[in-house]
Amino acid sequence: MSDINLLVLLLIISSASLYLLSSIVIFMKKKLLGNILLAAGWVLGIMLFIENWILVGYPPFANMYHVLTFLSLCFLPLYIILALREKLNWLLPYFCIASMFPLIGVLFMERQVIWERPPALQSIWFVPHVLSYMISYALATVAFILAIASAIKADSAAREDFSKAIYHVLRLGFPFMTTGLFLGAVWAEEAWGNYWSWDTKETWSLITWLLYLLYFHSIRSREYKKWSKAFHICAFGALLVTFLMVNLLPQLGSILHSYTK
Amino acid sequence: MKWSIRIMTIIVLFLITGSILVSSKAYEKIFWSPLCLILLGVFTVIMMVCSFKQGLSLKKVGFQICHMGIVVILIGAGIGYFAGVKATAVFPMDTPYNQLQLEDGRVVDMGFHVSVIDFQVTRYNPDYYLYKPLEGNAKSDDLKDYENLGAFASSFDGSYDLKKYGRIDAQELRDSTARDGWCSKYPLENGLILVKAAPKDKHYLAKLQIIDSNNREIIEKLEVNHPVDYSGWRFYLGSYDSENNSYVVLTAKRDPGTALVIYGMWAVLFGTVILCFRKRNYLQGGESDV
Repeated sequence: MSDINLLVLLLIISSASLYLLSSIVIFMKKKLLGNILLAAGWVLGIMLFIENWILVGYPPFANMYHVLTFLSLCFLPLYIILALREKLNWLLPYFCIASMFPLIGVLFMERQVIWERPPALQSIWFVPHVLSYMISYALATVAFILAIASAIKADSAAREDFSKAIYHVLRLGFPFMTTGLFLGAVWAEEAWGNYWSWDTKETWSLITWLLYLLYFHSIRSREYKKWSKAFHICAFGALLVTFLMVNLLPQLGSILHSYTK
Repeated sequence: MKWSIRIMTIIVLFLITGSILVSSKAYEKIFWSPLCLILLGVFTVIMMVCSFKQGLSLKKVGFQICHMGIVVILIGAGIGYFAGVKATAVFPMDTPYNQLQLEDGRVVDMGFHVSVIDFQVTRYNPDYYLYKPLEGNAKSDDLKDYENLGAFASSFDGSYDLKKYGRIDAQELRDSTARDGWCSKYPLENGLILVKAAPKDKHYLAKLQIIDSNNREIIEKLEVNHPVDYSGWRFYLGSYDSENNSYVVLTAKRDPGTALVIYGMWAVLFGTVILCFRKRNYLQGGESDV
């Protein structure tokens, strides 16, 4: 293994471990230590991101490895926004857990550190499109983790607190998802003359967007409010299909997004 | 509200069903089918009714921009579907065309002549496949007698890291007599051989010459992600003849609805930001159904 690849592996494992430790320590009410561990994990993640940037020579968002390493960095800044805006400080350990998952995913895939951008990816919309989606996926992941945690709570008041938190987290993430969806269409129009071609990834990203839209509509409807949790769970399932399965299952191959393989 | 939830649920189920049928032709039959168009038409009407019922007020700005943005997108897409034309064609170098054949066989006159007068491509260092001879086939020239150990790309320092088989500098694989400057095959020790993979494009650019009805000449640079607009037509650079650079594949489109779709998208984006970033409390019990 080359020195670069070894360094990358060490940074990934260290960062993921620190995120996991920080969540455990924060659940044990040792907030200061937890914050230090979280900050250390995040700094290692930043070092990994900068290293990737230097190696490829441009913002590293083109392949799954790059995208997942950046995704793990999104959680802490988003937590800070939610804590300041909605006073949801208690969500910190869930954000720590969520930060860890993309790095675990990276451990089990081929880490293409060098990536040569094909002409189609050389666009001003490339970074905003991927960045918007990563932020929205980060928040959607946290919301899903909260939904799982809420399901095991016996106390209905606690479940209601979780429901409110899920709503605020998704409300922050949905504009980013909308931005990612539409910037992708604007980009496709400039690159191929087709703002929408029913490509598998496009179709599933639209399904995901509509399901989150259904969540927001059902929350505000007396008749359909009881369906809001189901819409949320289905939306996250669609998100996983969009993000992972379309890239990993050849028979669901996406024509336009195949350069991410 | 309840009708929008119902129609969106039906649309989601329709999209999921359609996406499961994965051949590209099946996509067209499902997603451009009359049923799909009816669903989108009903959705558009429901959006307009929702907007009308909510009325105009400062509190509803985000809501109205969002919903009308979706209406504008769908109207633009409808205009494009019924009135837009698009063709992909091979343009041999220096050959002017003023007509395009559409997918349905119709021929459209653009009203001007367009030809590709220049094409340039730059490429990344090629990948190489590493082959190892199978038992007893060390001197065979047929790649069927070799095991493919995978493709290797040049690394950040310009060398090729062949893992346990060593490292080779890119300069050793250069061949000034080859058309692209790279060896097709390069023998290594112990019968191993490197075989060049298909080239990887870094950047390509075409120059279009447009001659209008008054014989005025316009030269435009055409690149991927930088289409050329002329007289209601938009030209996109697709691919090219990778062997001899003798032709370029262009897509030409005339779609009066595209601008509406793009404006609609920006409106939905802007409206969503207003709706989601303003202060709002989580509702208990839901609002009345509209």
